[in-house]
Amino acid sequence: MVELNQQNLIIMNKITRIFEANEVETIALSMVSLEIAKGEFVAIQGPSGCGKSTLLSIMGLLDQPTTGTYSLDSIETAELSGRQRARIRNCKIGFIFQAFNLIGDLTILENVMLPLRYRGWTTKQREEKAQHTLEKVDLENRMNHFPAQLSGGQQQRAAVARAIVGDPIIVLADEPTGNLDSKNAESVMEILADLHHNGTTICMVTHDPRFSTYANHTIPMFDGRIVDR
Amino acid sequence: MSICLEALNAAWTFLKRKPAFAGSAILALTIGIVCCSLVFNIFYSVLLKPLPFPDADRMIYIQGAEEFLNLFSENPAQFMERREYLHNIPYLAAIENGIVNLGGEGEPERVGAARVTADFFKVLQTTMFIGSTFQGMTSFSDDVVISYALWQHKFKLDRQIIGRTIRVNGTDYTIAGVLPRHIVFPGVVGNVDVYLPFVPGKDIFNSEAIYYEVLGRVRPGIDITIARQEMVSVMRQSGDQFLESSKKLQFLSFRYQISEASRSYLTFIQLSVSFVLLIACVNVTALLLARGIARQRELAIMATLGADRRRLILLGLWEGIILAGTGGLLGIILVSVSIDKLSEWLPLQIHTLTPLSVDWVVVTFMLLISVGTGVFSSVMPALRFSRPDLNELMKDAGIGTTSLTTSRGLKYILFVETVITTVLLIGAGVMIFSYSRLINVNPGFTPVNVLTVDLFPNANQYTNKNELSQFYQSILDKIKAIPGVNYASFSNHLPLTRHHTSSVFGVFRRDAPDSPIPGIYNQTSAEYFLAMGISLRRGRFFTRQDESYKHVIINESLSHRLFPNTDPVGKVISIGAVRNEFDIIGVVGDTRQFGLELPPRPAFYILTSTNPSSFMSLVIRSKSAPKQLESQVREAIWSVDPELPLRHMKTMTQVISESVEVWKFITLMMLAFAIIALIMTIIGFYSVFSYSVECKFREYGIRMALGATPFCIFLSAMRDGTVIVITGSLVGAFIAPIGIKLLSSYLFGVNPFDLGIYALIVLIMIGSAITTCIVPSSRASLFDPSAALWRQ
Repeated sequence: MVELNQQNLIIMNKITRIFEANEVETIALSMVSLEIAKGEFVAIQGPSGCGKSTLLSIMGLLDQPTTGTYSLDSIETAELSGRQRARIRNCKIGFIFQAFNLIGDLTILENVMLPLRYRGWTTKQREEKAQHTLEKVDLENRMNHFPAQLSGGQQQRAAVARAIVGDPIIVLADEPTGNLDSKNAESVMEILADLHHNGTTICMVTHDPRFSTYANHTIPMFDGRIVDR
Repeated sequence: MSICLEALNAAWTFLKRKPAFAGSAILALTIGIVCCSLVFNIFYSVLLKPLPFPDADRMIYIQGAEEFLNLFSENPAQFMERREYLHNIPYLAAIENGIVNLGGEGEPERVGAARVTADFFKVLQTTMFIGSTFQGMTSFSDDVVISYALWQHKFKLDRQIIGRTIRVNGTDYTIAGVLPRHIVFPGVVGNVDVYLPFVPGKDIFNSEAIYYEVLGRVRPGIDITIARQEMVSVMRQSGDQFLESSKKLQFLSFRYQISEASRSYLTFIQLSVSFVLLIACVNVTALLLARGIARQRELAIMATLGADRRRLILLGLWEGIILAGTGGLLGIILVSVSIDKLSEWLPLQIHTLTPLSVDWVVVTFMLLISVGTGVFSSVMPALRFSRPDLNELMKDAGIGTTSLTTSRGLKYILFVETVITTVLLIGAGVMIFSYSRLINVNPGFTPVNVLTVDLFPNANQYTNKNELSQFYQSILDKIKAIPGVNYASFSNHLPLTRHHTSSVFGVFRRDAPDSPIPGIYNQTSAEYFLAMGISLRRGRFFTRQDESYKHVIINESLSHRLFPNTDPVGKVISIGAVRNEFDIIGVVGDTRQFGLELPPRPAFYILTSTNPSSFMSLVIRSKSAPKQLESQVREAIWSVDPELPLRHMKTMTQVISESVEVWKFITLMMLAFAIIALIMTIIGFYSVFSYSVECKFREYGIRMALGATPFCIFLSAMRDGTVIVITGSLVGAFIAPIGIKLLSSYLFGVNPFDLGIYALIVLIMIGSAITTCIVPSSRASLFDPSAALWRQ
């Protein structure tokens, strides 16, 4: 692993991502380079299919670039094993999705406890931390409900709680307000803003220009490229 | 009606589009239907099929309760005379089963025969197909009635047969009638082909002790217990000496008598195979459910476009019925072509009065179970998916997190499948252990390199004991001259053979003349014990010199009963009602006479030369494989009597194997069904589990995003599958004893609740589940989380 600039949490250099299916190549990302400093709130904007989610996926170590280099918190990620990537996802990254992606079989509390389970915490430790986090998002009264029993806004707040329960250094949010009405969307954005004020780095993909205003700066994307800084 | 046809068309179109899905479902159902139908055919033929006699439910069978004691040998004629006083039993017939040499036209052969009294055909309530019954019922009557099968096989359906002569055991008889085709009667081996007039006292079979069976027909509306009370009452009035044992008189329905022995294990096998069919149904239900989950959006679109619930249910039901119907039709073809093979494979102990056939009852049964199977398999998926949640499905929310646990139907189905398979495997396991213990029982002799053949010398040719004795001795001399023969001997009662009747006589100590011990009478020649490999415990074996003396050898059981803690050699015993006295010259080891599963009984051996029997088994011990001697043995016997029919030429190893045929049959059936069930369960489990894992791709993506390593995902998927199997197999082990109770009389040397067997089967189930889950779980751990989370 190579030590890089301590100021930047994320450094991407000439990232290209090509998907191959039925001998047809699709270029999802092309020569993308960007830097995100610690504590920054970045919004990635662009039309559908421009590569926003692929970029987020590579940032979150869920995917690997075809070419180019990516370092996260001074760690060069190209040579990491699956186990090491999982460990970094668990300890340093929090994910929020448009479709909430809560596990339907688990209660809200169990969903929030899940990242801590992979961290090896005891049940008691997990419960205490998860309850505390759920209180932060005003879901302490819904802990034992299943996701299907909650409204969309409540589900997304639970998803935010799950993303931050492990105190990640960066939260990656993919259209976190996409499935919510404006009131619930505002509520979720307020939570993210609070996180940001408390020092967490946030990288959010959004369509909605209203919510781009929460960000320190916006990265516009089109056709797999960053078009303007 | 049009809705029904539309649904049928839609179901057919769907199945045509999914040939792999339809093929696997049809294969599972065909296997289940074929197995179930084949066993049902046996079950129906033996236990349910109407007997080929009019009003067969009025036919009764009378027997003594105590095994091996000859109920009617004291005075059968007197017993039969009572029928005149029996108001409720207007027809009563005595039957003496045996085997006769049939000569006259064509090759001489041995066929099943029965001597029957005058009322026999009235009890059967049948008339002749051609001709008439016996014209005269005297000791000297020379009329016979033959079966349709014999008429067809030996006389080529010649209608001029009536009045022609056939030779039965060397005596000429006139054919008086031919029975209708459907009238068959069970004999010693197979069905009876020749019916001779029976007047008690004249013994065509020349056997020393004869077991007369008594068959009757009660009046309409009369219960068997009332008929029995009347019989006991008549016996009491006549002051019969049999009265004291009248409590042991058993009245059974004829159906019960011929089928009772096989009822419990046939019921168990039918139950087991029904479970196999159930597993097939459950597999198809699981497949339909799994397909249904994938088709939820399609169904939602149909519902959005106006399809009501009835249409969606019909669509689901038709899919199941088409699958099962196709399986049923394939099943009928497969059963039709395999039924003859099944008949050949059936043990002789399973009596089917009529040959197994695919008749209308069997076809109806198969069609019914096919339709039933189709409806049963599809009703749950049809109901479940007939109410799609349009809002959720059209939004695509939740797709990708369907799991075994969320889809409770699938979970319960796999659980039920596991329970059933565990029960079947435990049943098979217990039977395998039982069978292996049984075939390893020491029979009391050494069967290796022993060849046997049954001889039935013609009674008219060898009219006195000397001639018969010389005949046997000549054969022994010829056999011993064959190179490779170590010992040769005769015996009238070969152990473990079904077609031998046994004679039991009272054996008395001199100082206890009123306390007889029942002993099995064995006639042998001098080298019998050496030929059979029966060990000597005390004294010595017979020699030719013993022929001049009244010497006897007894087995250990008789020795212990007669002379406990005393050396019996040199002691004198008396045998039978006439109290013939014999000197004991030796004690030999016990042999299992009537079955490996039955304990040895007291027995005694007397040299055959003193009073040779008209039926003997030749026993030959050779230096090498006895099968190689067969042709030389035939030549040697026919050099003495060229017309002597030879029957049952087989090795003692074969004899032992045949004696455990029923156990082998049950074990093989159980094993086959258990293996089929296990394979179907594994295949069903694999397909459903794989599908479930595919459905959970998004959940695994979420878990990976939250930090789960591939190994965590692997373990999580494995847990989903194995928990169901562990629970199911434990529940199966818990309820298995209920089914095994039915088999208790066919278990030997094994505890039906043997924890070792149960644990082994549970481990096999868990091992199978782990093996089955490994590949899908590995696939789950290799999911691309990015694709899973952002896939639409």
